[in-house]
Amino acid sequence: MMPAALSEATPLLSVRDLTVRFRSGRETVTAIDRVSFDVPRGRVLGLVGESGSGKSVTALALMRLLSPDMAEIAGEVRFDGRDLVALPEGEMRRVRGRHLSMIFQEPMTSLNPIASIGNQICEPLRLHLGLGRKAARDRAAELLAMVAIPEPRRRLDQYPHELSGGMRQRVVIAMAIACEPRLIIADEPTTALDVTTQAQILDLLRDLQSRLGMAIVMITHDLGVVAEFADHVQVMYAGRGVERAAVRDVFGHPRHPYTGGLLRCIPDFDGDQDRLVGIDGTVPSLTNLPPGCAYAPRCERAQDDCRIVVPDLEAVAPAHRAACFHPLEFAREVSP
Amino acid sequence: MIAEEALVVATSLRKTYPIYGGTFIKRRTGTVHAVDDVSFAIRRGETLGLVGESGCGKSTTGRLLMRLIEPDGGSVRFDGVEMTTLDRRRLNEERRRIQLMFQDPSSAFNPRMRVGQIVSEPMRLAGAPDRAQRARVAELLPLVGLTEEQAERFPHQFSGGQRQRIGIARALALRPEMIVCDEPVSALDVSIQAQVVNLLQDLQQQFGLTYLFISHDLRVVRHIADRVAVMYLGRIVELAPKAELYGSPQHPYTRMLLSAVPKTKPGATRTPTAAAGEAGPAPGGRQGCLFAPRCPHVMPRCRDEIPAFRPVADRHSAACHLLG
Amino acid sequence: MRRRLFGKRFKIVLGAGILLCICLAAIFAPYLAPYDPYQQSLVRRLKPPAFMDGGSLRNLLGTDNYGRDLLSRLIYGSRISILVGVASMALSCTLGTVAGLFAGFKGGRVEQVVMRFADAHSAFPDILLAIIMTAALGGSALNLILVLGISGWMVYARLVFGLTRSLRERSFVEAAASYGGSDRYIVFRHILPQVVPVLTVVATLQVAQMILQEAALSFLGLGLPPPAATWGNILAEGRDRLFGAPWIAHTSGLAIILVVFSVNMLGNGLREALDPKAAGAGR
Repeated sequence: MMPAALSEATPLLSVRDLTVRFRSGRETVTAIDRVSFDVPRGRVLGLVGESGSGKSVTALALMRLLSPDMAEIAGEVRFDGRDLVALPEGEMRRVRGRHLSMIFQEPMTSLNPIASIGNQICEPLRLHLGLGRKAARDRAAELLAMVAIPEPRRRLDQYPHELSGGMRQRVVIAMAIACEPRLIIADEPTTALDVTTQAQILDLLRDLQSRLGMAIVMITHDLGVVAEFADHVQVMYAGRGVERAAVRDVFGHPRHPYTGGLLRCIPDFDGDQDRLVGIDGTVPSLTNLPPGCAYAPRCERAQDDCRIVVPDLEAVAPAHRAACFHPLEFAREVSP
Repeated sequence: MIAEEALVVATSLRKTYPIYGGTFIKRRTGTVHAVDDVSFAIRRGETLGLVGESGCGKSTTGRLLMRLIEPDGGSVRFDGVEMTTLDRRRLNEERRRIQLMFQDPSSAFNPRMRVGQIVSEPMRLAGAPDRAQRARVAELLPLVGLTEEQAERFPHQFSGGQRQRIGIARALALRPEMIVCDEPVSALDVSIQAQVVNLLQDLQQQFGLTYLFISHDLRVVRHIADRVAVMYLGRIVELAPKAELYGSPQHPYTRMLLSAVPKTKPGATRTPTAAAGEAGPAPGGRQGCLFAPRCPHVMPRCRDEIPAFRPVADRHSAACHLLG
Repeated sequence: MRRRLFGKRFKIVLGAGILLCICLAAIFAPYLAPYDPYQQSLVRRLKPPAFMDGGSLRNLLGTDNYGRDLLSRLIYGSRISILVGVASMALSCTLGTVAGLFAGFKGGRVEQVVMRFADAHSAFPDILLAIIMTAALGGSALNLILVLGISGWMVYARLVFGLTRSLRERSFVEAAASYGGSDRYIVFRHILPQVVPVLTVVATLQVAQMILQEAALSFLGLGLPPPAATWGNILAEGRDRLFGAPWIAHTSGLAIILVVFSVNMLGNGLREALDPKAAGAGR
């Protein structure tokens, strides 16, 4: 499948100026605005943001799961050398589920409540790999074993409601890895789960990722999950990328004031602090963004230029980009 | 216990729910022990954090405390008054001193009522005159960081964080002594969480409030609570001052829970697979320790003998046979 | 761009406008109708409407088999149709709402009894019930209202039950209970006001349904007995003369369609307008 010309050095997924506009009546809302990032083969990119940051829309746009009647997608999503934005729907369908698959937040919504687990896992196997009934079933049992579900053969005949939340998410993961995709987009895969279950699912994902050599785009609002799981991080705010770097740099030396503020918001787990440091104000509404930097109204470092011009995501250090005219100094360590 | 200084003392609280099964004819097929022999005390001005995973009975415990749910057994003494035997009228009076704050800011308010009506509802039901209600609303909204003019708006015109402020204003309306906060910041964005937590702490200082802070977020609880109780499948398994509980957790479940929290310092990774299994009914029923099926240190004794909840250090108790 | 004149309320304005005209016609029937609707005239039998060949301005919409003026009969007929439609809707709406509120709020045994009864009633054919009742009680406007009213309550009961059940679980209901709000207070203050907008829409649409049912019953001879001027009766008479005098069936049929259309228009308009998000706003 992979064109020979593409070396290992080219990223598996390369997103350039991805823009999604939603039309509702006479209004157009820009949900994500010129977002760019790369995901190297076999690595994990964390896409972090709060509500309205556009992180889930990004996922849906990458998968081309947004209805063309409502959403207008521009920019380039180069996956394995092909531009997914321009791909005809028929071909996209062959990519989706085969080379590119998705894990959703709430397992119950991505599982069909009236189909057995076995049938649901077999579906992509038969569709994309052309396996026969028997072979698909064997493979499905294997997959359930891979995601550490006990008694996989027996589970094949069970229905989603008979499983616990954690088990369901394991089934969803088994479906996502069924065709050994090169990239998995995981949209808040552990948000609906308890913390001990979350830990297990993250361990499982990490284990599968290194065994199968998949790349993962991990979309989450939980900085802890990103810190643990991702190699690179893209922080999003109000539909724009505001900071992008290796996870160590983002958490160790955040340069965008929003990232710095977000990190300070997390209650300390080791030391003691009298007060939490929040970020004042509210997350802006996408229908009513300020003219300049969307974070400017909440930012303590904002100057006049921030309120007029939208800063581009530019290099502030090698392999570290921030969209800020007045970034935080490098030496600044943030406590948690 | 230290009953003299305690504002509220819960003793052996119990609540069970029947499970119905059957396709055509509904029959009772089992029992859920939502809250099972739960005892604790909260001192005046203190914050007790109640943590646990979904379904552990922490929200039910909060509601039993206010008798919003009738307990099947046990007692709640609030400021010396036994809550479980009060008649309706006396209960309503006593209950004004304890208020409840909800998790989901979108369902906490009647969408057709204006903020002013929402905040004054407790006063209206308590029979306060209109004038006093309006004056109190005008006093409360600035107190929680909203403006008086916003009283005329509808809840959906506010952001999640602002709605939680409205919830706090409503909870404060009757000048309660205690607030049961049921996951008050779980639905909020991180940057907004801090604002609300800080507000709750400021108000506690200002009015000497007592909090029962129910949450699954171990970080937030560590920040806001004085003491922390850990619940598992309806029982409290460990209770200690927060420094003790987070510093030297004794119960294996507490340890598992704490080790599962993702670290935000990159490089400082969790030990993988420290957490195993999921909370579910113990196969051997409720005779033994409920955590036994998941416990890395399980002994034969754990399966058929309920571990007593006993002190392991000063003000630090846990229910585990390992500690016996 | 013309639609912008009426804005979002276009459907409501149109639907309510037509309905208002029909209601006014019903109320002022004695002043509007050119003739007595029961006045027979053998010489003026089966005259076509004024706009057809052989028609005259004396009978704008023509006459029927007995020489009665159709326009007058239609105007008087609107009284029965609207009265029966609105009154039976009110009856079934009240019955259903009370039952639904009770079942939804109380739950448990009350819910089982009420909702199973609603299921059982739904399984019973309406028309059969209507035949039994009219046969036993005789066809009169009051009996029609009773029959239609009773046969329609389940729709409301289910709707209100579902809404009440989900509202009861919302935090604000629990909050009100924690401040000492009684069941009555909660139902009237927190539940009913949120059920009413949905009810309004369903009830409006139901009026159209009821008018059709009344026409159907009269058409089958189970409504008011002839010579009473009801739209259903006129339609039934028209059926026998569909080829010789098609205007009889056409005019009464069009009257029914017009009412049902405008009621549906109003109902749909209300549904759009009463969306809680849209209604409460206005920043």
